[in-house]
Amino acid sequence: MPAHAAISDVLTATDQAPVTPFDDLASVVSLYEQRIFRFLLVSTRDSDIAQTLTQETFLRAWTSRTSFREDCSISTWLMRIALNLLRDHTRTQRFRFWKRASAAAVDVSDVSEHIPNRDSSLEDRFIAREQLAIIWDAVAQLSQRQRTIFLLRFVEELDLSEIASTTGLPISTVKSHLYRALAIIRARHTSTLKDTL
Amino acid sequence: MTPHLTHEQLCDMVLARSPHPLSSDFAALQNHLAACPSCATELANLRTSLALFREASVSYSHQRQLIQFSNIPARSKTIVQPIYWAAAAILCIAAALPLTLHRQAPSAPASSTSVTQPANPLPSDEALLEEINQEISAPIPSPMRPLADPTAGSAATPSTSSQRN
Repeated sequence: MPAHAAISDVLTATDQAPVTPFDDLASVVSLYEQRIFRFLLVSTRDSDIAQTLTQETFLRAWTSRTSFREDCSISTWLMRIALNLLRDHTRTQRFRFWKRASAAAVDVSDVSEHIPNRDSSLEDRFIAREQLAIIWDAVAQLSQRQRTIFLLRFVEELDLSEIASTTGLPISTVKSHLYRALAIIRARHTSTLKDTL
Repeated sequence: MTPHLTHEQLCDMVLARSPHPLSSDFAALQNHLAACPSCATELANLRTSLALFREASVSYSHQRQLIQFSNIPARSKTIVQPIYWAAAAILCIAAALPLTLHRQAPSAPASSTSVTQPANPLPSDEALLEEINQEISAPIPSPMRPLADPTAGSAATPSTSSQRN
Protein backbone atom coordinates (compact mmCIF):
# COMPACT_ATOMS: atom_id res chain seq x y z
CA MET A 1 0.00 0.00 0.00
CA PRO A 2 1.42 3.40 -0.93
CA ALA A 3 2.27 5.84 1.80
CA HIS A 4 -0.43 8.31 0.88
CA ALA A 5 -3.15 5.65 1.27
CA ALA A 6 -1.95 4.56 4.68
CA ILE A 7 -1.50 8.09 5.89
CA SER A 8 -4.88 9.32 4.73
CA ASP A 9 -6.37 7.42 7.67
CA VAL A 10 -4.10 9.26 10.02
CA LEU A 11 -4.97 12.57 8.42
CA THR A 12 -8.68 12.11 8.83
CA ALA A 13 -8.14 11.80 12.55
CA THR A 14 -6.60 15.26 12.74
CA ASP A 15 -8.68 18.29 11.98
CA GLN A 16 -6.28 20.81 13.47
CA ALA A 17 -4.84 23.69 11.47
CA PRO A 18 -1.33 22.97 10.12
CA VAL A 19 1.44 24.02 12.47
CA THR A 20 4.37 22.27 10.79
CA PRO A 21 4.61 21.39 7.09
CA PHE A 22 4.06 17.77 8.09
CA ASP A 23 0.58 18.49 9.43
CA ASP A 24 -0.45 18.74 5.80
CA LEU A 25 1.01 15.34 5.21
CA ALA A 26 -0.96 14.61 2.06
CA SER A 27 0.88 17.42 0.25
CA VAL A 28 4.23 16.34 1.62
CA VAL A 29 3.62 12.75 0.53
CA SER A 30 2.52 13.75 -2.95
CA LEU A 31 5.63 15.89 -3.35
CA TYR A 32 8.29 13.60 -1.91
CA GLU A 33 6.98 10.05 -2.03
CA GLN A 34 8.45 9.29 -5.41
CA ARG A 35 11.89 10.56 -4.45
CA ILE A 36 11.97 8.63 -1.17
CA PHE A 37 10.69 5.47 -2.82
CA ARG A 38 13.26 5.77 -5.59
CA PHE A 39 16.15 6.21 -3.19
CA LEU A 40 15.00 3.27 -1.08
CA LEU A 41 14.41 1.10 -4.13
CA VAL A 42 17.86 1.62 -5.59
CA SER A 43 19.37 1.19 -2.12
CA THR A 44 17.57 -2.00 -1.14
CA ARG A 45 16.90 -3.31 -4.65
CA ASP A 46 13.66 -4.74 -3.36
CA SER A 47 10.39 -3.03 -4.25
CA ASP A 48 8.41 -4.47 -1.32
CA ILE A 49 10.96 -3.38 1.24
CA ALA A 50 11.27 0.00 -0.46
CA GLN A 51 7.50 0.45 -0.30
CA THR A 52 7.33 -0.52 3.35
CA LEU A 53 10.19 1.77 4.30
CA THR A 54 8.69 4.64 2.31
CA GLN A 55 5.47 4.27 4.22
CA GLU A 56 7.37 4.06 7.48
CA THR A 57 9.35 7.19 6.59
CA PHE A 58 6.23 9.31 6.21
CA LEU A 59 4.56 7.87 9.27
CA ARG A 60 7.66 8.55 11.32
CA ALA A 61 7.91 12.06 9.89
CA TRP A 62 4.33 12.71 10.91
CA THR A 63 4.65 11.29 14.41
CA SER A 64 7.83 13.27 15.08
CA ARG A 65 6.74 16.39 13.19
CA THR A 66 7.05 18.59 16.25
CA SER A 67 10.80 18.00 16.24
CA PHE A 68 11.09 19.46 12.73
CA ARG A 69 12.80 22.82 13.34
CA GLU A 70 12.93 23.86 9.68
CA ASP A 71 16.71 24.15 9.92
CA CYS A 72 16.85 21.96 6.80
CA SER A 73 14.53 21.35 3.90
CA ILE A 74 11.62 18.92 4.12
CA SER A 75 13.32 16.76 1.54
CA THR A 76 16.51 16.55 3.55
CA TRP A 77 14.61 15.75 6.73
CA LEU A 78 12.63 13.01 5.04
CA MET A 79 15.73 11.61 3.43
CA ARG A 80 17.43 11.56 6.82
CA ILE A 81 14.55 9.54 8.27
CA ALA A 82 14.60 7.20 5.29
CA LEU A 83 18.33 6.76 5.68
CA ASN A 84 18.01 5.86 9.37
CA LEU A 85 15.27 3.37 8.60
CA LEU A 86 17.33 1.89 5.81
CA ARG A 87 20.35 1.57 8.08
CA ASP A 88 18.28 -0.13 10.79
CA HIS A 89 16.74 -2.44 8.25
CA THR A 90 19.89 -3.50 6.44
CA ARG A 91 21.67 -4.21 9.71
CA THR A 92 19.44 -7.15 10.45
CA GLN A 93 20.35 -10.64 9.38
CA ARG A 94 16.77 -11.19 8.34
CA PHE A 95 17.14 -8.54 5.65
CA ARG A 96 20.15 -10.33 4.19
CA PHE A 97 18.28 -13.60 4.11
CA TRP A 98 15.08 -12.22 2.64
CA LYS A 99 16.99 -10.12 0.14
CA ARG A 100 18.30 -13.33 -1.37
CA ALA A 101 14.93 -15.06 -1.20
CA SER A 102 12.64 -12.20 -2.10
CA ALA A 103 10.62 -12.34 -5.28
CA ALA A 104 10.50 -8.55 -5.32
CA ALA A 105 14.29 -8.31 -5.62
CA VAL A 106 15.34 -6.08 -8.49
CA ASP A 107 17.59 -7.52 -11.14
CA VAL A 108 19.74 -5.50 -13.50
CA SER A 109 17.83 -6.96 -16.45
CA ASP A 110 14.64 -5.37 -15.08
CA VAL A 111 16.32 -1.99 -14.87
CA SER A 112 18.07 -2.24 -18.21
CA GLU A 113 14.67 -2.38 -19.87
CA HIS A 114 14.35 1.26 -18.87
CA ILE A 115 17.43 2.53 -20.63
CA PRO A 116 16.30 5.37 -22.86
CA ASN A 117 16.24 4.25 -26.46
CA ARG A 118 16.75 7.48 -28.33
CA ASP A 119 16.53 5.67 -31.68
CA SER A 120 19.89 4.07 -31.08
CA SER A 121 21.24 1.09 -32.99
CA LEU A 122 21.24 -2.43 -31.62
CA GLU A 123 24.96 -2.21 -30.94
CA ASP A 124 24.56 1.06 -29.05
CA ARG A 125 21.80 -0.47 -26.97
CA PHE A 126 23.97 -3.46 -26.18
CA ILE A 127 26.81 -1.20 -25.08
CA ALA A 128 24.39 0.84 -22.99
CA ARG A 129 23.19 -2.33 -21.26
CA GLU A 130 26.77 -3.29 -20.58
CA GLN A 131 27.55 0.11 -19.13
CA LEU A 132 24.52 -0.03 -16.89
CA ALA A 133 25.36 -3.54 -15.73
CA ILE A 134 28.88 -2.42 -14.82
CA ILE A 135 27.62 0.43 -12.67
CA TRP A 136 24.88 -1.78 -11.17
CA ASP A 137 27.36 -4.45 -10.11
CA ALA A 138 29.93 -1.95 -8.94
CA VAL A 139 27.37 -0.15 -6.76
CA ALA A 140 26.54 -3.47 -5.11
CA GLN A 141 30.20 -3.81 -4.15
CA LEU A 142 30.32 -0.47 -2.38
CA SER A 143 30.10 -0.24 1.37
CA GLN A 144 26.77 0.83 2.80
CA ARG A 145 27.93 4.39 3.37
CA GLN A 146 29.66 4.73 0.03
CA ARG A 147 26.57 3.39 -1.73
CA THR A 148 24.27 5.78 0.08
CA ILE A 149 26.43 8.77 -0.76
CA PHE A 150 26.89 7.61 -4.33
CA LEU A 151 23.14 7.19 -4.85
CA LEU A 152 22.35 10.51 -3.23
CA ARG A 153 24.77 12.18 -5.60
CA PHE A 154 24.23 10.32 -8.86
CA VAL A 155 20.58 9.29 -8.65
CA GLU A 156 19.07 11.99 -6.46
CA GLU A 157 21.53 14.59 -7.77
CA LEU A 158 22.04 16.22 -4.39
CA ASP A 159 24.85 18.69 -3.83
CA LEU A 160 27.67 17.70 -1.55
CA SER A 161 26.36 20.07 1.10
CA GLU A 162 22.90 18.47 0.90
CA ILE A 163 24.43 15.01 1.18
CA ALA A 164 26.44 16.20 4.16
CA SER A 165 23.28 17.54 5.78
CA THR A 166 21.35 14.35 5.08
CA THR A 167 24.01 11.96 6.29
CA GLY A 168 25.30 14.16 9.08
CA LEU A 169 28.85 13.86 7.76
CA PRO A 170 31.31 16.65 7.00
CA ILE A 171 31.57 17.64 3.35
CA SER A 172 35.19 16.47 3.22
CA THR A 173 34.11 13.00 4.36
CA VAL A 174 31.32 12.94 1.81
CA LYS A 175 33.81 13.91 -0.86
CA SER A 176 36.32 11.24 0.11
CA HIS A 177 33.54 8.58 0.13
CA LEU A 178 32.56 9.69 -3.34
CA TYR A 179 36.17 9.52 -4.55
CA ARG A 180 36.49 5.98 -3.19
CA ALA A 181 33.17 4.92 -4.66
CA LEU A 182 34.14 6.37 -8.00
CA ALA A 183 37.52 4.65 -7.84
CA ILE A 184 35.79 1.27 -7.50
CA ILE A 185 33.34 2.10 -10.25
CA ARG A 186 36.04 3.46 -12.50
CA ALA A 187 38.18 0.36 -12.05
CA ARG A 188 35.26 -1.94 -12.91
CA HIS A 189 34.21 0.31 -15.71
CA THR A 190 37.62 0.51 -17.34
CA SER A 191 38.42 -3.20 -17.08
CA THR A 192 35.02 -4.41 -18.28
CA LEU A 193 34.80 -2.00 -21.17
CA LYS A 194 38.31 -2.94 -22.28
CA ASP A 195 37.28 -6.61 -22.27
CA THR A 196 34.04 -5.91 -24.10
CA LEU A 197 35.18 -3.46 -26.74
CA MET B 1 51.22 18.43 -15.32
CA THR B 2 50.88 14.63 -15.21
CA PRO B 3 50.38 12.82 -18.52
CA HIS B 4 46.77 12.01 -17.59
CA LEU B 5 44.16 13.46 -15.28
CA THR B 6 44.48 12.39 -11.67
CA HIS B 7 41.65 10.42 -10.08
CA GLU B 8 40.60 13.48 -8.09
CA GLN B 9 40.59 15.67 -11.18
CA LEU B 10 38.52 13.15 -13.08
CA CYS B 11 36.15 12.74 -10.13
CA ASP B 12 35.79 16.49 -9.85
CA MET B 13 34.90 16.61 -13.52
CA VAL B 14 32.34 13.85 -13.03
CA LEU B 15 30.97 15.51 -9.92
CA ALA B 16 30.75 18.81 -11.80
CA ARG B 17 33.14 20.24 -9.29
CA SER B 18 35.78 21.22 -11.79
CA PRO B 19 37.57 24.53 -11.25
CA HIS B 20 35.84 27.75 -12.05
CA PRO B 21 35.50 28.16 -15.83
CA LEU B 22 37.52 31.36 -15.73
CA SER B 23 40.40 29.90 -13.72
CA SER B 24 43.68 28.78 -15.25
CA ASP B 25 43.22 25.24 -13.82
CA PHE B 26 40.02 24.88 -15.78
CA ALA B 27 41.72 25.98 -18.98
CA ALA B 28 44.54 23.50 -18.35
CA LEU B 29 42.07 20.65 -17.77
CA GLN B 30 40.17 21.51 -20.93
CA ASN B 31 43.40 21.66 -22.92
CA HIS B 32 44.41 18.28 -21.59
CA LEU B 33 41.05 16.71 -22.41
CA ALA B 34 41.23 18.15 -25.90
CA ALA B 35 44.72 16.73 -26.40
CA CYS B 36 44.29 13.36 -24.62
CA PRO B 37 41.72 11.04 -26.21
CA SER B 38 42.23 8.45 -23.45
CA CYS B 39 41.16 10.79 -20.66
CA ALA B 40 38.43 12.33 -22.78
CA THR B 41 37.02 8.90 -23.69
CA GLU B 42 37.16 7.65 -20.13
CA LEU B 43 35.47 10.75 -18.82
CA ALA B 44 32.79 10.58 -21.51
CA ASN B 45 32.16 6.85 -20.89
CA LEU B 46 31.96 7.34 -17.17
CA ARG B 47 29.56 10.22 -17.53
CA THR B 48 27.43 8.27 -19.98
CA SER B 49 27.30 5.21 -17.73
CA LEU B 50 26.35 7.26 -14.69
CA ALA B 51 23.69 9.09 -16.67
CA LEU B 52 22.31 5.77 -17.93
CA PHE B 53 22.28 4.43 -14.41
CA ARG B 54 20.37 7.44 -13.20
CA GLU B 55 17.86 7.49 -16.05
CA ALA B 56 17.18 3.77 -15.83
CA SER B 57 16.86 3.90 -12.04
CA VAL B 58 14.47 6.83 -12.16
CA SER B 59 12.37 5.29 -14.89
CA TYR B 60 12.33 1.87 -13.25
CA SER B 61 11.36 3.21 -9.81
CA HIS B 62 8.65 5.32 -11.38
CA GLN B 63 7.24 2.26 -13.12
CA ARG B 64 7.45 0.18 -9.93
CA GLN B 65 5.56 2.84 -8.07
CA LEU B 66 2.84 2.90 -10.72
CA ILE B 67 2.57 -0.88 -10.49
CA GLN B 68 2.22 -0.64 -6.72
CA PHE B 69 -0.54 1.95 -7.20
CA SER B 70 -2.36 -0.10 -9.79
CA ASN B 71 -2.07 -3.24 -7.69
CA ILE B 72 -3.94 -1.73 -4.79
CA PRO B 73 -7.44 -1.74 -6.30
CA ALA B 74 -6.81 -5.07 -7.98
CA ARG B 75 -5.54 -6.62 -4.80
CA SER B 76 -8.29 -5.15 -2.67
CA LYS B 77 -10.83 -6.22 -5.26
CA THR B 78 -9.65 -9.79 -5.22
CA ILE B 79 -9.68 -9.79 -1.45
CA VAL B 80 -12.90 -7.90 -0.96
CA GLN B 81 -15.01 -9.76 -3.51
CA PRO B 82 -14.94 -13.08 -1.66
CA ILE B 83 -15.72 -11.17 1.51
CA TYR B 84 -18.77 -9.68 -0.20
CA TRP B 85 -19.89 -13.08 -1.33
CA ALA B 86 -19.39 -14.56 2.12
CA ALA B 87 -21.31 -11.68 3.69
CA ALA B 88 -24.12 -12.14 1.16
CA ALA B 89 -24.27 -15.85 1.93
CA ILE B 90 -24.40 -15.19 5.67
CA LEU B 91 -27.19 -12.67 5.16
CA CYS B 92 -29.18 -15.17 3.08
CA ILE B 93 -28.76 -17.84 5.73
CA ALA B 94 -29.67 -15.37 8.45
CA ALA B 95 -32.80 -14.40 6.52
CA ALA B 96 -33.79 -17.99 5.73
CA LEU B 97 -33.24 -19.34 9.23
CA PRO B 98 -36.18 -17.58 10.95
CA LEU B 99 -38.45 -18.60 8.07
CA THR B 100 -37.42 -22.21 8.44
CA LEU B 101 -37.91 -22.06 12.17
CA HIS B 102 -41.24 -20.34 11.67
CA ARG B 103 -42.38 -23.11 9.34
CA GLN B 104 -41.28 -25.83 11.71
CA ALA B 105 -42.83 -24.20 14.76
CA PRO B 106 -46.57 -24.42 13.72
CA SER B 107 -46.24 -28.16 13.00
CA ALA B 108 -45.83 -28.96 16.70
CA PRO B 109 -48.83 -26.93 17.86
CA ALA B 110 -50.85 -28.44 15.01
CA SER B 111 -50.41 -31.89 16.46
CA SER B 112 -51.30 -30.62 19.89
CA THR B 113 -54.45 -28.98 18.56
CA SER B 114 -55.44 -32.25 16.93
CA VAL B 115 -55.06 -33.91 20.28
CA THR B 116 -56.92 -31.21 22.10
CA GLN B 117 -59.55 -30.77 19.42
CA PRO B 118 -62.15 -32.99 21.11
CA ALA B 119 -62.04 -30.63 24.05
CA ASN B 120 -63.43 -27.83 21.87
CA PRO B 121 -65.33 -29.54 19.08
CA LEU B 122 -66.95 -27.50 16.41
CA PRO B 123 -70.70 -28.07 15.78
CA SER B 124 -70.17 -29.46 12.30
CA ASP B 125 -67.55 -31.86 13.59
CA GLU B 126 -69.92 -32.88 16.35
CA ALA B 127 -72.59 -33.73 13.82
CA LEU B 128 -70.17 -35.64 11.68
CA LEU B 129 -68.98 -37.68 14.65
CA GLU B 130 -72.55 -38.37 15.66
CA GLU B 131 -73.35 -39.60 12.19
CA ILE B 132 -70.29 -41.85 12.20
CA ASN B 133 -71.22 -43.23 15.62
CA GLN B 134 -74.71 -44.02 14.38
CA GLU B 135 -73.37 -45.77 11.34
CA ILE B 136 -70.99 -47.84 13.45
CA SER B 137 -73.56 -48.74 16.04
CA ALA B 138 -76.08 -49.82 13.40
CA PRO B 139 -76.57 -53.66 13.42
CA ILE B 140 -76.28 -53.91 9.66
CA PRO B 141 -73.94 -51.53 7.91
CA SER B 142 -75.65 -49.45 5.32
CA PRO B 143 -73.76 -50.95 2.39
CA MET B 144 -74.95 -54.43 3.40
CA ARG B 145 -78.62 -53.62 3.93
CA PRO B 146 -81.04 -55.31 1.45
CA LEU B 147 -82.06 -53.09 -1.34
CA ALA B 148 -85.63 -51.86 -1.34
CA ASP B 149 -88.02 -53.83 -3.65
CA PRO B 150 -88.49 -51.77 -6.71
CA THR B 151 -91.82 -53.55 -7.52
CA ALA B 152 -93.34 -52.84 -4.13
CA GLY B 153 -94.65 -49.54 -5.32
CA SER B 154 -95.99 -50.92 -8.67
CA ALA B 155 -98.33 -53.51 -7.00
CA ALA B 156 -100.08 -50.85 -5.12
CA THR B 157 -100.58 -48.75 -8.21
CA PRO B 158 -102.16 -50.27 -11.37
CA SER B 159 -100.05 -50.41 -14.55
CA THR B 160 -100.70 -48.09 -17.32
CA SER B 161 -101.24 -51.02 -19.81
CA SER B 162 -104.24 -52.36 -17.78
CA GLN B 163 -105.59 -48.87 -17.62
CA ARG B 164 -105.24 -48.68 -21.38
CA ASN B 165 -107.16 -51.95 -21.69
